[in-house]
Amino acid sequence: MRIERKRRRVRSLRKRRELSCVVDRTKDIRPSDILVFSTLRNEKARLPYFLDYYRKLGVNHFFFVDNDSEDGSREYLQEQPDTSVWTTTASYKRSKFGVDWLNGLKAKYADGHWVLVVDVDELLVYPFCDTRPLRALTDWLDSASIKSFGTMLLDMYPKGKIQHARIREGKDPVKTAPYFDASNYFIEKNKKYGNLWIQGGPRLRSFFRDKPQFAPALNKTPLVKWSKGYVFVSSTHTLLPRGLNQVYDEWGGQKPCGVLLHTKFMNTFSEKAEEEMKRKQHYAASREYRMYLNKLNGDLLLWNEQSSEYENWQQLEQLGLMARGNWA
Amino acid sequence: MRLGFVILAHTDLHRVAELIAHLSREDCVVGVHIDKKVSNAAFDAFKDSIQSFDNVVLSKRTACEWGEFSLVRATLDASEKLLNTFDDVSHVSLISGSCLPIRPVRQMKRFLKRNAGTDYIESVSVENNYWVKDGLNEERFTFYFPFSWRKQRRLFDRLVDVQRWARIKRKIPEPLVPHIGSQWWTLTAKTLRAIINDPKRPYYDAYFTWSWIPDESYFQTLARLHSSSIESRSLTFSKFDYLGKPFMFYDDHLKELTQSDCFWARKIWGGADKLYSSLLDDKRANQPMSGADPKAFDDKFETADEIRCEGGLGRFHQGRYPYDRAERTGVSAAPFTVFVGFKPVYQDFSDWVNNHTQGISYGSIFARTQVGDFDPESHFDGNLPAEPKVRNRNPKGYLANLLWSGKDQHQNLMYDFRDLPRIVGTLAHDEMAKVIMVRHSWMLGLLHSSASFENQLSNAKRLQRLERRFLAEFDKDTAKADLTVMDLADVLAHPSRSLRAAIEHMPKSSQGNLSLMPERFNTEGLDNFAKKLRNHGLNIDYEPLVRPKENKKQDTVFEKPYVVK
Repeated sequence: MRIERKRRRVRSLRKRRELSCVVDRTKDIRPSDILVFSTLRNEKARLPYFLDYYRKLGVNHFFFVDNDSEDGSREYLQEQPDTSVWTTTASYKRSKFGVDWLNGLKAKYADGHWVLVVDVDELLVYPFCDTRPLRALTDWLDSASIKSFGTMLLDMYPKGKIQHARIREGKDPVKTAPYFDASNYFIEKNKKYGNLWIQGGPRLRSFFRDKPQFAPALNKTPLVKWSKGYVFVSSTHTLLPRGLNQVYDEWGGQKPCGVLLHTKFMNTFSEKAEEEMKRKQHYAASREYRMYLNKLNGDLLLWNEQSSEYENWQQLEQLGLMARGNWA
Repeated sequence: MRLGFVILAHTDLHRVAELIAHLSREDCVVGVHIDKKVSNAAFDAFKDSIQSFDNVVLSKRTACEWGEFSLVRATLDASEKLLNTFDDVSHVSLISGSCLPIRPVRQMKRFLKRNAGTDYIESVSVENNYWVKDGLNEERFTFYFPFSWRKQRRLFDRLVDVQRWARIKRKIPEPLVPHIGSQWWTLTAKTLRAIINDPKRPYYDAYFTWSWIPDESYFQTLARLHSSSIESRSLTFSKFDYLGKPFMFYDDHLKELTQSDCFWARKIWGGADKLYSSLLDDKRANQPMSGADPKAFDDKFETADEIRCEGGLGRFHQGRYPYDRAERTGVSAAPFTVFVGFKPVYQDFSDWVNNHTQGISYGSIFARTQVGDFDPESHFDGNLPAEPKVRNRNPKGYLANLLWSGKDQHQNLMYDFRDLPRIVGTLAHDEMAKVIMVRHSWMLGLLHSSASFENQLSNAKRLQRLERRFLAEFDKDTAKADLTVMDLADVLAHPSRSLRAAIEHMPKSSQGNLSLMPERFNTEGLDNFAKKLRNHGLNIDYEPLVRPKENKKQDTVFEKPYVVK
């Protein structure tokens, strides 16, 4: 395990060289700052709300790796006061889907910081997120000597066809795509890394009914008190060293955990699916995207009568999708 | 009457300064101890920020270590300095830098004036009380504790073991009687002076230097010596979680805080802007004690520990995935029923249960090729697909998802030995499961099959083996489900009684007419079939009941759409 971790670390440092810096404001970072790390490609429409959402939660600095955007994302991010931006035209796939790039940057800049690694279509919801900023959570985790915080990726979708749910700049995408599956999640333990492997939700029931074993993973550990030797192994599903994956209680109780609202299934999705099929830069030979295109021909409806509409974190806690643990 | 405060602080000094400013406006005097571990730069900035107040004294800085005498020393130093500087002080309250007043300070002053001679310090005798949640009680006083619990945990633990083994018993200095209680107190200046100026203090200090968590026992013990009137309670609310970490207060606690009957609360999160601005508002109105409900407030935190240690039964998520050998591994949050072996006996048993009880009947959720009678394209509540492939991938998780959505009602499902065997262990280990089984009923199923006898025989062997395995699973020590076994012969002989017994524990529906029975399959030839199986070497302990005539009468009371033998 240690060897694997070291290998991945060295790899990430090598892959870091593929990045060229667009703007570097890292000297503004204070020792206690909370940092967001994200990779993106052509996501301009999502960025204003994304930045706004996490700034309100108290994030102090954003690190972006732009993978050759053509829609002005890079230029937009460059102008923000609290961002540092890198860009690359190298292969997304060969950098382990961005993991290597971000690992490389974190190794250099994130030591000792609380780090939140999210995509621009992921919005973090944690217990009391409406009244307590992210720092309240990280302070509490610090006081309990906990170094990582687990979440489940909750796929959100609109009521109608997804191509009719438009992403509007600066507007909350969850308002447009407020539906989710309340009780359709399957968990196993990954023996090698000790993390939970969660599958389910609308993607499982719509695209992977016949082969549920191939449904995408929904477990994520995006919030970590970073330390130099740490690495993410695959996306933010798995971390090394292994202890960081132990975000769940095994003795019949429950630890605090949250949810990442995943607003991927909106109008940009089918456009992306087509583009990504051409680029073939996504996980497992872009299996997900291929399934979507084959099955639906770009005409995708995920909503049905059993779908639940999102209200707030209390609702998700009631539904047993997240928990406050003993954070009172 | 002049109220003084001793503040122990080690972090968020700008908040401490805010607190001091407020206390100064309330005409209180303050002795502050800042931990030596605070950087000089931060300390200097703090000093500058309180420079303009003439009611504050800073005491000598000590590096404080949790659970050690340094905390007591810091308190003593600050108290001494406060009392020496302001000789008109009548009461001194010990608070921390992360405390805030739940009730206005003037209300506290009035309260103390009314109870002028009383010392408010939680002080419980160690001999007959269990104030300590977990860990050392009396041994705090009779062992030596030279090591830091935080930094030298292994040495600390080892030394405790050794002392237990060696039966070490330190002599407690006369005339002290060990008492413990909350670190935060409000003492009259008279009592505090008596403690500080006690001629035997060097002797006591030396003793407490080697005891464990003296900040919860030094003043608590000495106050018993010097006070004329102790009320054994703290005026500062502070509560520890199951790991011994204090609960924090945030902005969303503002309304609830006055449920407490205390005057101060610990510990406030440094970023709780709203709490700081509201509770340090000089114009804040009195919060009458009549509005307090300390029990409810306390329960809130007890509940938090419960949620952490025992919560979430029946649900698995990123914060909860119990080991198989842990407690509360079950798939259901509420009681549910599993009917085993009813299918070969009655034709529409699931519908019948549905009509006669309140709740949800799912039918044979674990049938081989289908999920109950549901269309595989359809979904249950919560969007769980009724697709057998999805179910087969993780039967336990599937059942957990299914039962979670309907947990507000009593749910029931059917199981037969031809169904997915992998779920049996899950059912047997669920403390919420009530399993009602008709033994040998698989014979009825075989009786009606058109297969050759040889075929029937091999199937009988298989089914009998499955039945034994099923029962063995429930026989395990770790099995938690409640199993009721009925014998087929009995069920056939006393249909109404056995049916009623089967649904006895379930909430009844108001419209259900119990006299209506589910339609039963023909049982003709069963006894011969059993005999034949036995003659071919199958070891079945099925004994048909010879029904006495008068029993028959009982059942004729019921309408009988079923076939009576």
